[in-house]
Amino acid sequence: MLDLILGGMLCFISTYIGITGKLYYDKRYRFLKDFVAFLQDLKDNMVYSKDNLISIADKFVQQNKGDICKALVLYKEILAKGENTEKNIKDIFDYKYLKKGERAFVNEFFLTLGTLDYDNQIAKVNLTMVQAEKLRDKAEKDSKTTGAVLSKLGLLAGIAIMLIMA
Amino acid sequence: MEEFIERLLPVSIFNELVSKCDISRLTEIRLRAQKPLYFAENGRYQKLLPEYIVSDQDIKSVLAVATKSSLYAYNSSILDGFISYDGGIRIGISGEGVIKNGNLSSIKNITSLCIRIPHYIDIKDVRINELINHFDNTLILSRPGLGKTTLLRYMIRHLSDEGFNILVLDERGELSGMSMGKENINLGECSDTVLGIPKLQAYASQVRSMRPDIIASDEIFGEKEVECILDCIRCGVKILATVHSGDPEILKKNSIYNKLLQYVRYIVLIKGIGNIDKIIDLRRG
Repeated sequence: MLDLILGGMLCFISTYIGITGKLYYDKRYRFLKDFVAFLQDLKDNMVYSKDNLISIADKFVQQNKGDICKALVLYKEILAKGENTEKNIKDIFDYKYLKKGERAFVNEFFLTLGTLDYDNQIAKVNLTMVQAEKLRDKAEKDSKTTGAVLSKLGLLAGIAIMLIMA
Repeated sequence: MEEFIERLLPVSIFNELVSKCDISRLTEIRLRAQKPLYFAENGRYQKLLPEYIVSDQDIKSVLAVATKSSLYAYNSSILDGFISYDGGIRIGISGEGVIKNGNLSSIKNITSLCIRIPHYIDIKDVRINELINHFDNTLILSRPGLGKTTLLRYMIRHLSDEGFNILVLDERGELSGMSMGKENINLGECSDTVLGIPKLQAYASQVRSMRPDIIASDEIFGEKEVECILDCIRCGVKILATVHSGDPEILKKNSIYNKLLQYVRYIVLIKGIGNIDKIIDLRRG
């Protein structure tokens, strides 16, 4: 009986680890996907309506969901106070589900956002979008392959443990 | 006004300014990258601190506040050489031009800022009050920084309170200090402010729609604007304007401005903020 309970617990833990692994890849993909969507929105607003960053971020947050929106809400606050320092930007955009290089990439973008003249700002957004799309595609692939494998593996390992223990 | 200046400047600079001058008399602050900071109190320049050198970060910080961290959104204004900030504060800028297809496309690497702070000063000069009581087309002349705009504001307010409908062409937000639809500088009961519209467009459209008695314009410049003013005068509207010029004789020799002078009654020469040098009645000579 004790073996069965222990087997059940180990099965649960193994499945949980697998799902957590998948969640990591899913969240990473979702964030980068939303980041690309924000960049597109940003570019459209910069070129056509020339809105300021606070109102661009505000509109995006109202029309979208997800972790990037939570970060953008905080970003709006520091912009309004004129406190978009390196530290504050890092605190907001150092998203834990991104890889180290991806975090640095996102941080660097938001740090320079709004500080460049029109031509350079548009060029920067375009360049960032190209790179972000590549990262998003890679994250999507990772989520569909490695993430899916992890979740299935966790579940299978759990069942295997249960069977062995039984 | 002090709250706008406090918000705009880095804390260390603002605190130092507060300790060195009366903020209410501050007329200009000049930030130049890698050079000392100068400020003007009632038009007189002083160095803030001999050892204080303006950093690139100081300039970036002021620009970030002035543009709400959206420098790109101010490109057209930057191309005209200034950014308008709350309270009628105008920030003149200079930096490196970016030329695209032969035209100036944007300005990057901004290295100098000239922050001009608007003031309303009661001018206790009977000659100005006389001029207001017998108003006719008037030009206010002086070199830059001697208070043309300050006198213009004073005259707008008093003429407006006398019941004249005055159309204030405030392209840069400097005359009214208007922000978020609120006039931060009182321009009287009968003034209508046209904010942010290029003056050349405003002359034509607003004269027809607002039916002003007087049009007030700061820093008229060039043939096109003079032609617009002459059209307004032809329509029966009086003009009250400032011109960058230290000497009316130079103005008379200029073919463009000489055409305008044919219709101007008074020239006011000033020698300092709130300090009138003389008023020339061109009909009397």
